[in-house]
Amino acid sequence: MTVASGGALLEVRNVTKSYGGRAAVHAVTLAVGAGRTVAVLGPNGAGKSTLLRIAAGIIRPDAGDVLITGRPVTKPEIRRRVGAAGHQTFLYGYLTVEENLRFYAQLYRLDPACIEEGLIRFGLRSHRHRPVRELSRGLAQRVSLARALLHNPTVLLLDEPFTGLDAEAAEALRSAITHLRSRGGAVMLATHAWAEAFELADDAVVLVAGRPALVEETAALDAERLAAVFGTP
Amino acid sequence: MLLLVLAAVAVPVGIVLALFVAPVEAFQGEPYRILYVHVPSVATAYLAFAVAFLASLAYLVTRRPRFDRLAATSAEVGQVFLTIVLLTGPIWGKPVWGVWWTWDARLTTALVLWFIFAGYLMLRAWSGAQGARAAAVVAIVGFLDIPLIHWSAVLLRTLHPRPTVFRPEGPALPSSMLVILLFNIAAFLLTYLAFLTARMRQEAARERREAGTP
Amino acid sequence: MSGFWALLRKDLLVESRARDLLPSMAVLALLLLAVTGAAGVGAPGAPAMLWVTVAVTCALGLLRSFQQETDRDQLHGLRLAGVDPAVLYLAKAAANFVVVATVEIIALGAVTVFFGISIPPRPALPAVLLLGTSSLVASGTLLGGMLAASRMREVLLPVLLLPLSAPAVIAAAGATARLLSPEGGSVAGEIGLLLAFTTLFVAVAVLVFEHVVEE
Repeated sequence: MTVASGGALLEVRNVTKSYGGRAAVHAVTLAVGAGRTVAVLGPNGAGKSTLLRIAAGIIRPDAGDVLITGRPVTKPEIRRRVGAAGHQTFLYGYLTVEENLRFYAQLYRLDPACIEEGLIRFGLRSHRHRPVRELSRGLAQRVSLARALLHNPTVLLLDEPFTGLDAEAAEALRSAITHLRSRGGAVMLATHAWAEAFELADDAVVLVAGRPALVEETAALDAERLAAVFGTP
Repeated sequence: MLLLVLAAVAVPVGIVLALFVAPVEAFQGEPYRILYVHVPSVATAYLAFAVAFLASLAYLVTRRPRFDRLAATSAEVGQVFLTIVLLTGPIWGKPVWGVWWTWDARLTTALVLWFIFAGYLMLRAWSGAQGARAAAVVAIVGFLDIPLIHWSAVLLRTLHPRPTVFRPEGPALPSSMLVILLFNIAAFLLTYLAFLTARMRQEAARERREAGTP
Repeated sequence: MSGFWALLRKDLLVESRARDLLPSMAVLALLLLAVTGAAGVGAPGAPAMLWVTVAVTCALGLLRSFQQETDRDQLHGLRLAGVDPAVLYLAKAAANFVVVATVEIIALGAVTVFFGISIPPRPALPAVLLLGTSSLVASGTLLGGMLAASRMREVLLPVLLLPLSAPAVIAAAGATARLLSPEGGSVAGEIGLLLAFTTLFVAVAVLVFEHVVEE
């Protein structure tokens, strides 16, 4: 079952991944069209994080593949169109906020001006010379988001991105997502907070034990239907 | 099954031949008879590691679990034979050279190789399925390391009897000894194959069992 | 290869901030040399002790270069950025080379003091030192990358690195001994071996590293 309407930017095709005999993700197929946002819902352990990592090309699935603009995410130049932020920040603790962003700017061969933009966008200028290992979780999360958006990705994959963010940072993230969508990008957002999903996403996929249990437009969902799938909200 | 039977017959026959039928060696006397165990063990061990090397390459390229199993099993069996080499070497050496051990090229290579594959087996034991790729790399570099180890020890010193069988000019053993030696080599190779196939079947069954449980 | 310089700079920057790898490796090396000197190993054993010490120190220290890529899943960030695994290996090896070469120079100084030897100015000696280091770093970085996710990595790295690098240690020790002796002599064979060893491991690493780091 696919969710998108026309011109899928991100396609996850029949993806399966097992760890130690247990399937974390089983035969998941979904697509996200340009300008659309898909929320991936589910309880802890449902496979949301694994799915996101596979979509980013970070983990290789046992079966199935992932395409971005029709090309496989296994190719490095395709992966570079993806921005991802998850539970781990991908940052170097001993380096400062600015040094971390500079490092990633070098990897992506970006104009150093984007570092300043990233710092401003998430209110990090006053923290630019602080080592990441000294930062609170919320601040580190902001740096991680700045890193994810540094190279103006076409596809944005976010795993519980609002965790630890204060109101200001949450607003910055929301506007970044809106901006990306208006430019025709696609967003896939994993969360167990349904309020976020209803607010931001056009479509929702509910994962239960690695399998898609429900695929709908968020407008058509309500608490009752979700409770029927989960048991409790 | 057939292999096991053949090996079970061939090895004792080979030992009897080695102990009673083979003629006495002019310079070394009775102790030389251990050559009939030592040399076949060397041949089998190195063959086993070569198989492990090729299977590891195949596994990295194709990712078929079969090759991984073959590499692991062959390395296991090879290690057993290499242990025999390291035990029979000094037993042969003490009466003949007067010392239990020397750091000549061939003994050094055998010992270092033993450690490499001991590490390989430890890596497999402690990492399970995740470590299969790492183990494959170890087997590959380990095998390619062999000529380098040998060369480094040669640069240092050498005392091993000059090769009498594995020489470019051809074997220098009298034909009676050579025949028995070749028979024993064949017997050991049969044993290797028997163990290999038995272990492979065992591992395949175990993996099927584990995959079956949810 | 632009990633190479960014990675190398990043690694050296992290080490200059953390300041733990180089000092701990240097102290360990000095300690090993001091104890063996005190325990009676004299000048004839000095070349072997130098190289065994460097090898053991590498075996205990080289895990670090990949562990700094795991505490916040940094390796995933690198993969996302499309970093070529072969380039990652080369950058790590280069960073490790800087650290190990520094430790080696310190160890060499200690050897002259603890074992009472002098160093005749022979041009081949720096070549042996460099190639011995490159051999240990080439193999140690490959193994370090492979074992980064492994459960028993602190034990497995020494257990695997020491036998695999044995030919390099043997050749380097033999060449160093010959170059330190009053008569000297040719070490062309040993240098050839060290070059071959380094080349072998770098070549294998560049070819297989993508299999090593992916999940």
